[in-house]
Amino acid sequence: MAIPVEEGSLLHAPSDSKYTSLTRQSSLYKPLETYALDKEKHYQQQYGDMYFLRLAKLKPAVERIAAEAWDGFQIAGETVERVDRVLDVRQGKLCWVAGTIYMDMPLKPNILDDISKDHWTTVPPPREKYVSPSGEDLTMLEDESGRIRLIGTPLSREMLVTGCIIAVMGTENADGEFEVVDIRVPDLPPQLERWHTSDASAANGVKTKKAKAEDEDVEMDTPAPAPGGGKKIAIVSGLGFSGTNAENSLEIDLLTEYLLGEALDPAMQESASQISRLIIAGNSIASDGEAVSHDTIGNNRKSQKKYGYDSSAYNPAPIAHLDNFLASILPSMPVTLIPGATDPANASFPQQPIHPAMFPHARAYGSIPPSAGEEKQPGWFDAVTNPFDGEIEGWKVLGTGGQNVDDVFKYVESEDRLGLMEAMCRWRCCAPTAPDTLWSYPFQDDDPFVLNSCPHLFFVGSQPKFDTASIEGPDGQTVRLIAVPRFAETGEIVLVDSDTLETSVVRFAVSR
Amino acid sequence: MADYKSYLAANILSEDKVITYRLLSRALKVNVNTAKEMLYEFHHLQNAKKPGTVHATYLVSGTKRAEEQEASSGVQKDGEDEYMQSSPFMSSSMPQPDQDTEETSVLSITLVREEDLESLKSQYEHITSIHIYSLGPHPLKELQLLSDCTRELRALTASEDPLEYYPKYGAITNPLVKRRPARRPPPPPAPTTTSKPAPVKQEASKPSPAPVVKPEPKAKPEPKQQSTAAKDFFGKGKEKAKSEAKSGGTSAPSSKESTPAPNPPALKKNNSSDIFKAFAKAKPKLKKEGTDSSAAATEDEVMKDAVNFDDEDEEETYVPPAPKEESAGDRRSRKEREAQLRAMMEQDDDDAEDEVVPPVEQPEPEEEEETNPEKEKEEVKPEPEPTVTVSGGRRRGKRRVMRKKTIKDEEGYLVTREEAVWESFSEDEPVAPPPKPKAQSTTAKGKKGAEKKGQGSIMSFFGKK
Repeated sequence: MAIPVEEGSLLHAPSDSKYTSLTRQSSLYKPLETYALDKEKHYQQQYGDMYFLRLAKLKPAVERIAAEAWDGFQIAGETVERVDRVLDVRQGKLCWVAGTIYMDMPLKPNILDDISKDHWTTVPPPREKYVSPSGEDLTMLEDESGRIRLIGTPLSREMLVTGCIIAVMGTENADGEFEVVDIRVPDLPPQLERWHTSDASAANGVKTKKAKAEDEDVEMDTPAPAPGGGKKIAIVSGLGFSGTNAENSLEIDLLTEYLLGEALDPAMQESASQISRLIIAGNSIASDGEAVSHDTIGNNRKSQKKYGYDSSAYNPAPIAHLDNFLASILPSMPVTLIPGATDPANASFPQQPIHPAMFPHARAYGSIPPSAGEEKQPGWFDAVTNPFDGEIEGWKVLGTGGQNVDDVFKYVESEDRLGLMEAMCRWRCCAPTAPDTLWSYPFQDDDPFVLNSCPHLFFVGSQPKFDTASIEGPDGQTVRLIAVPRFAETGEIVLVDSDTLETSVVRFAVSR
Repeated sequence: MADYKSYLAANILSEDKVITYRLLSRALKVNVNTAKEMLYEFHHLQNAKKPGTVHATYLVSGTKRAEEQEASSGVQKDGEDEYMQSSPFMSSSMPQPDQDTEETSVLSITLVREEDLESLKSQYEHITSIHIYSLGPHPLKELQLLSDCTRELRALTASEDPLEYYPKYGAITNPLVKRRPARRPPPPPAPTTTSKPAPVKQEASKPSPAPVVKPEPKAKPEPKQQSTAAKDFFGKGKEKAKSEAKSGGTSAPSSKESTPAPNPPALKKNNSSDIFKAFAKAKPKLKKEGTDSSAAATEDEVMKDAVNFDDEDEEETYVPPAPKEESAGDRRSRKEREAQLRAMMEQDDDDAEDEVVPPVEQPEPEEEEETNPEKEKEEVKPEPEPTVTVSGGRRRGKRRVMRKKTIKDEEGYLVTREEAVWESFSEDEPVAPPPKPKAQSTTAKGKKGAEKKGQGSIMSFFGKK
């Protein structure tokens, strides 16, 4: 069978040419522990504090923007006035006020339903959307003083979900409802330039790191493209290792071979060597519906304490496959592992790193415990929190496993995931629906979901399809948004250019 | 060079195997790119000689034609447009979806059968690279089967340090890689890898083979021999296992080439089961050689190792696996011993430093617990005696107590049931006189025990404290 020889074809007899082994680009990486929780977690606190903290943090920002927009604004000769608290709104008076949105939706999960669950004959499936088709949803604005219902056309144009902080301008009508004329959001937080912090802390102690830090300095002086230009960051999500289903294993093998630079021809291998880091954005393990359904109340067979675990209730295969996957990638490239909804981490946001003990092979590449006096260094294999906050190649990166977007998605009619991501950036809150419908740790002192500084790259895993856009803020901030598709469904990974933040997609497929 | 042809001929034509380029490169220790060329050459020559004897799969990369990509990016446009129109405050910086999606290049990497290659090529606008992925004696019905080769490959290279060998095969190296300096050898991946997601649901109840490096019992000769446990386990013929164990001494750590095991490793469990096996082997010999007490001493040492193994301790050293050949007789009695040992493990798993005195009475096998969880509830088992360890004036051990448990049954009624549970205890009391554990056991024991032995006087209950 004769096949025409294309460029980059290896369809010829073994030649004498020596294939040289390629060296991978280095990765500059600095995870931040914004979302790490203390070892000792307390769950006695009230969730109300989170809303209070969020409002306290974002109110000044949104009020500044609102004041700029509305100061001296007149409607029918009446000038808009600022009102401090929701309760101070007077009927018939044109005013603006800032507060937290609360969506009163009959279809939202209700704690009382959980209690009455015992009397159900069949459990209704979880809802895809909380939006009521018959328009029974109420939008409220609340602060520590009280709550007022919002009505008016701007609401239908605006995407609003529980927990976001906005300012509204309008007037209270005879029914005690607030008729909205205009809406303002906090918009993008201030953005630091690239290399802002990683430069300062580049002296990491390790020799190679130091050499790189010098490189960095050179780069700073000459804003020309970096010497090792064209570096890429690979993001993959939803690998979906499963214990019962081997459908994707070949695609994942192809992914491994591609990342390792074994597949394809030398030119393609060269380009694969530009990938300096792999980020796994959630849902590496497929959810196994079956295992859950076995777990019934009347099942008391677990009462017997066993040595080790109960193998009938737990299938370790998926995590073992993930471990193998990681262990074969790690010798060649560093990996950041973000947990997702179906991964073996805690269920509530922020998810804490998957414990390295889960990965008997891969953990050899984990972080080395710092000896006394040394600064802690990120591991070559870095299991991180979800959301992940850090700096890669000098860019500030925010990434999640996808739950935050999926949850906000239920509040709105729009199917546009990128729009939701953009809205989150403009709300300055990466998980507005926590703690209402997105499970969350009850924070007491700080709401870490509020974005204090604007990321350069914001990616969200486990989305139905790949999507990307670049948004700009009022002060010249630019954010690259990426919706990372589920690998198990699409076979796609996303490559991000570390200089331009441009994206490209690599799609793996096996012909049926 | 002719070398690879005979290898491929032997594996593909004679043994009916599918060989991927990675497998070939590992087997012959050549660069992957050379391996791809070898596959092509072999495919070419063989089919010239006798058409249809070798079937290939190809890996093709490039950009697909526009209409293919439309499908993936077209949907986004609509949503985006609508949303932008209706979002006034965002207008300062609208996302530019159109532009972006155009920029986004998609590299498609597709694995395809020889038979479908031409039709696939027609879908591509530009092919950047193509090579043979695998060769096999038959056309592959299900390409996913190729992932078996990856497993085989892992088994083949399990003993190799990837940092050392990756460059040899042409994988991209990274000079900055950081690995923990002092690390214990990770469990050999063979059984793990083999137990990749199988289309069929795995029977979780099957005991998994122990992939872990075992601490070696002192009494073992030939410490370098291979563990053929996995083979043994899967009934791959004991003869074979034996012979391998004998010849294994030469080919040191390649024990990982063992047969695919259906179950993934459960670290903790495997450890213990391994130890059990090691014991099962060691014990009979020891009994022949010496007294029981010496056997117990050996056991202690092994126990320590075993417990350490579960720790996060960094400083463990590599202990060569114990030889695994077993006689039929050994095997028969193994189960019993496993049960005994398991009882020991349960009894004292947190403090192996202390001297462990063999249990006063050997508990009857509770063996099937892990393998057969459904049964155990109904089964009326012979009542195990509580095991008590006395060390340094502290008594600790496990005893069986009745606990009340309230559950809700299917009809929604609350049912209170008494159940026997094991509970560990430790007391600072002075060493109890030998008969004491027995007396205590009757009182502390559950219903079943009481039925058998008759009801003790109520005074003994009060008097005890």
